[in-house]
Amino acid sequence: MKRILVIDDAATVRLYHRGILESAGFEVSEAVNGLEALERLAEGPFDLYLVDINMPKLDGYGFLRELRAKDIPQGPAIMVSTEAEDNDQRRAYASGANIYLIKPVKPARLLAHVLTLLGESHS
Amino acid sequence: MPIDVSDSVLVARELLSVEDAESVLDWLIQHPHGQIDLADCNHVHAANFQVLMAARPKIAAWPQRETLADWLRAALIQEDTIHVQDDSGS
Amino acid sequence: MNPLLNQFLTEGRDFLEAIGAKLLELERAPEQGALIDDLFRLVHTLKGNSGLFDIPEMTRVLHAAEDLMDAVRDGRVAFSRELADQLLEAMDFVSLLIDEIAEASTDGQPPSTSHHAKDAVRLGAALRELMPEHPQTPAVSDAPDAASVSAGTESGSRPETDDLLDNLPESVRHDIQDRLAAGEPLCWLRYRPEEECFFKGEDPFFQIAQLPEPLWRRLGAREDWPPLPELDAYRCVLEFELILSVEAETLVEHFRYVPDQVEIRSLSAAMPDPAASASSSESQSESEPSSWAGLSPEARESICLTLEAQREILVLSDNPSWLGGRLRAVGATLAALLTSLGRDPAATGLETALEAALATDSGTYLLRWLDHQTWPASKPAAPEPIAETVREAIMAPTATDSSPATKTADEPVKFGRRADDQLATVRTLKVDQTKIDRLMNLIGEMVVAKNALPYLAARAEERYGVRELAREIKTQYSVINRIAEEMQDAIMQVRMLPVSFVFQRFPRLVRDVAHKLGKDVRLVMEGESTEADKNIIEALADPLIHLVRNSLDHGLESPEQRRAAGKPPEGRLTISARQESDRVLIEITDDGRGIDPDVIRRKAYEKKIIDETTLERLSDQEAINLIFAAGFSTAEQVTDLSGRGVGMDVVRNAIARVHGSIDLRSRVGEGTHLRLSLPLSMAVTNVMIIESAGQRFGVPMDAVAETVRVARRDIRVIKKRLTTVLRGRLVPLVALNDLLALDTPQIANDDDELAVLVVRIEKEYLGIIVDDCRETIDIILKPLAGFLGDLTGYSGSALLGDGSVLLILNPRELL
Repeated sequence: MKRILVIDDAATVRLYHRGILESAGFEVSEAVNGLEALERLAEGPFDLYLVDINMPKLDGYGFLRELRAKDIPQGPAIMVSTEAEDNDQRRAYASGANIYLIKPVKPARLLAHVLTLLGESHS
Repeated sequence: MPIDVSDSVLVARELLSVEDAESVLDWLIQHPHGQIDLADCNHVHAANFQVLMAARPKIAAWPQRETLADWLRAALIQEDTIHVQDDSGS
Repeated sequence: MNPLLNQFLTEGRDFLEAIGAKLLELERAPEQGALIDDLFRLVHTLKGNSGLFDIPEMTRVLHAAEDLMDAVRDGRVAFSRELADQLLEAMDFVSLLIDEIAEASTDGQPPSTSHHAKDAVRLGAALRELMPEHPQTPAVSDAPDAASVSAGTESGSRPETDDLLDNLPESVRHDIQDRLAAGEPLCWLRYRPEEECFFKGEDPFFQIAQLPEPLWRRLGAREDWPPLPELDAYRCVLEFELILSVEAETLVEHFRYVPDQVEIRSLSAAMPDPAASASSSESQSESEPSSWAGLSPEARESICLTLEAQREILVLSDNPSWLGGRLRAVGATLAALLTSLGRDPAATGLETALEAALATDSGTYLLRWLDHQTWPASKPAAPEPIAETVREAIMAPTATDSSPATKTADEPVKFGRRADDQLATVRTLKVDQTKIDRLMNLIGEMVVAKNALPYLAARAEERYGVRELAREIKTQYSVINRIAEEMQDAIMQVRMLPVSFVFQRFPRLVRDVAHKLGKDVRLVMEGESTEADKNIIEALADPLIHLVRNSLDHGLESPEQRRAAGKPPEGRLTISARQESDRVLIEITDDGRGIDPDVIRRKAYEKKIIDETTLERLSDQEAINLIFAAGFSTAEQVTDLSGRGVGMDVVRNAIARVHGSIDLRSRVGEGTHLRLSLPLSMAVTNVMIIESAGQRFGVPMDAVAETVRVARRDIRVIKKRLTTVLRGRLVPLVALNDLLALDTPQIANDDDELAVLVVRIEKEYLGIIVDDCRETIDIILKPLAGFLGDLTGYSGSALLGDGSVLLILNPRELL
């Protein structure tokens, strides 16, 4: 089963994402900040990362930079933000995100992106 | 004062603003057979539209301003009024 | 309740509390960047959470708060008291919404909070007012949805547009056909303004009136009109439908601030024009493999966005240390995208391109590879592009497509089962209080039932003469007794609450009151994690608030007065809690003006609380304690803060009701120190059983000083009161039967001695004459329910081992 790591300090958001992803049959792990997410990598790399930006301890950018510097299989990363600003998007891409979405992401949209990034068929 | 009322007619002038909607509604509640004179009215805020649509009062005079009159007729005349503008030059 | 909503509410409350705390902290130390960051993050996250639900009022206010905090963070706006006030008010509003949602939500959906729209607008504007350049229009939260105008598949929009034309009157249809044939661009528009739009200063009709003359129009309502008196003129239910002769782009631009409220369809593409439709399908088949035609709008969007994003990543010219990983992630993303489209990445040369990119530390090779691939177009390749918002495209169901992926997407996501699955990881349980109360009652009954065993043992021995059995019963009893006590203790632990439950409101309270009074006060709180029984903590809330208000109002001086007295201008108020054996001690200390015993003496005398002789005899401490006397208030004038008709006597009684005591020390000019001592738990009470008028009553042992037998002849009447001398001290006596209004004389024993229960009330001794004093027992005190609850003089009732009910007297209230 494809494994997805959801990284967000808001439990509500984690629950929201978990609900959507699990209903599509993916295995979901959670981390409450970038630091904890890095620790979770000890379990092995994930197939996809869903990363919030603003988090205590280590934010989303920081996590992605650390992740991309590691010599492990590099799964795609979705950066989820509440900012629709160009600057943040560029920063997300530079840090290692593969797509930048604005919260709240409607279930159908999120799922489509996840399917694309996990190589799952859309039909 | 854009609204003048008598016992049977409410005369609206220039602009019926969002605040006026409440007054128009109150007047129509108290005067179920009251008529509305919109001849000198240029624009009515959408809130007034709602009040007029819900109350369907008799219109004593339609606005002189055609665009407003057209919309009011479309809104207030029961049958689906089709207003075909043959040549508006738009 | 929907677990997601539930989670949101719980987390929301936590956030609000944290936001409040941080704001107060910031006010004290406005230069702390870390605090501002924290605060921004909290508001930001809360706003994000609220966006998951349809609570535009909350989101609006939080959005404004977030923007403001962002400005503070960037140094564009200085943190000020005014700003804190405004933010606190905004958070109060959010808190109100959360409470309302928690209360009203039944089917898992938050109720409409649209009746707060006005407040939300006002608060949002007030917050933005504080920013240097408040933007004209707040950014639409789902801007990208609206901004990237793309389109649905043809199969999705065409049948609907056809239907639309079918419904038009014949004359209009002909007119439209003719115009289309002449190449005129025509659009159908439906505009459904949101219900709260009037409160946002919008006039949908103005929007519509600005458009050119329509070819056809319909003005309707989303629901039937109610009778006039019930009409809400300010809830917009209007619905405009028009056909116009304009380009779709013009309409999109015209309605750019309300993209989610309009539907726009270009009629050119929808008309049965053989030439146009042929060319459209042709161009599509030219550029895209047929298998892509069935992609859902979401899938199409995700593929296009993903491709676009990878391009943007690849053209980045920075060269960070993690570039390799970033390139490999792009490679993995592109490979997944191909697989998702049913193509084999290996056959496309992607891997080679990635290797070349890694070798050259540049995205160039991958970019080149991207350019050589064929991808689904973001917009169907029709000659006349249909302008629709993405949102609209997503909503339009594709008639032919019933694939599983689309289904999953369309069905509401079910969270319920997932929440169950998560239980395994939950470490904290939230339990309804009634369940704990039930456990409490059960253990109470258990203690009582257990108490029947010694009776049974005694009976076995005395009545039936089976000593052996009596011993066994006693052994069993001690086992059950131990377990019952442990259970009791365990349940007690569950009921323990930290005093922070009450303390947490003090920072805000102190701040607000101090501001109002123009005083500078520094609040210090200690020992917030000290725990006590829930009932105690709850009973503590009001008295403590009153005491704190008192300190602020009467105790602490204004900065000028303090300076004049040679004190630092900022007053200090300390509230601390700690546990000492089986008591919780709460101390409230201020360094204010203190209480002047002479002033108290004079007032007490003026109010006829004491007579002249007492006036002279009273020590300073005794004088200060007069503050607790009923009807005493030292305030020169009643302020709206502490003078709410509640005196210190009420505070003391409230504390006494939970078997607590209060001690007050004060020095003129130096400050006042209040000490509350409370039991850790009030569940088990040791009472003495007494008899009077043939009934049994319990008296809490903590009130009982001693029990004595007093010969009737030693009782004198002094100043019409019964008194006796005990150990050289004059003790007033009252008969319990008199107190209870029972018309029966107390019964003396054979030696004509009366049983007297000496109780101590605030250092005064009083003898209560009863018929007999019996054993002491442990009971679980239950408050009197129903109409009995109004009876004063009783603190509650308890079940006894023999099943009878014992009423527990409250000596303080009896007198």
